[in-house]
Amino acid sequence: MLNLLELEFEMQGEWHIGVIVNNDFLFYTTENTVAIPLRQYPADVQLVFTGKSYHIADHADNYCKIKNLYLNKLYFPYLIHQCELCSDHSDYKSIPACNLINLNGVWKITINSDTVQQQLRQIIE
Amino acid sequence: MIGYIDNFLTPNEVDWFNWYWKILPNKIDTGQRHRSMAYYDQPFFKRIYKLLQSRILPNEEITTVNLNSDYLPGGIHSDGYIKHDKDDRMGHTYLIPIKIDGDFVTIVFDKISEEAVTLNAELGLGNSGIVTYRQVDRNFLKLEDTPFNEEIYNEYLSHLDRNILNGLQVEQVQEWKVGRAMVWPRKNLHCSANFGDNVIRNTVLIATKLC
Repeated sequence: MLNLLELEFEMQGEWHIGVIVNNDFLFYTTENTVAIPLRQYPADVQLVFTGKSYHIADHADNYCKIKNLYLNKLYFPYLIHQCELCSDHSDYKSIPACNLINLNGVWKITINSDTVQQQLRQIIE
Repeated sequence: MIGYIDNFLTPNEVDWFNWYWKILPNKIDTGQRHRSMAYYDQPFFKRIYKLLQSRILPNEEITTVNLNSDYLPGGIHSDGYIKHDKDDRMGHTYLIPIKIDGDFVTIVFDKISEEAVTLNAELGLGNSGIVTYRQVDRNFLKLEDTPFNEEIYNEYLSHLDRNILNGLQVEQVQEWKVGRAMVWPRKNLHCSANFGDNVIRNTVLIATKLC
């Protein structure tokens, strides 16, 4: 339950997601949920989204939406403001606070040891 | 029900609550314990709330979740209604130790009060530990003069004025165990047994209403 980042996705089309933490490749998934162990802080999490071909008409509407985001079982949707998508599209090289992925790219977020505490303070105080 | 729910929290869940207690930003000192709300009704807590709700007795709904770290033994009180929930039907109190360093017990008495009240002032504890409960005296609880059990007094309750305990009988002496819930009706008077200095007594406390 601890040191765990969990994301729930809503997907249109098939997406292939590689999970990298602190430059270590952990696993690969096409599922709607992903649970990422964070072994040390800061944890630089990267989700590598691939599978969309810009040349195939059927893929035009494909997307992956990050519906829910949990850190240590706590629901912190506003963590999305700390993420960035770096895409392979020349017009959209960097998209901050990205929760709707419709381009191939790397979604990044850094989790620190005090990230939960900061989120709690923002909500409670 | 007065008794236990074994394995109310798994070891992983106990670890989680110990972590949560550490990072909670707003702890208050009540004079007997450090306390924090768990913010059980906030959206960020929804998964843990669902987990706790699945562990309590059927037909009950959680109305309070607190985390506590005791440093002094408390006085006699009930966890009945206070102003904001006076129309609720009182459920149970669930007290779940998450970190302890000794043998501790909680004493549950036979007498009840639907309202949250405490005998702390009469017991010589003043306002320590009291945040929202009304101070009452023996007359309010209609306590008779039957002498309190001497053996139990000497073993567990020597921090309290013995004469004030007359008229009370013990329903159960509940022993603390990490992850196990001690359960009693909120209206039943209860208190912690005496304990020494510099102890670790960290708990999760849940109160419920009937629904």
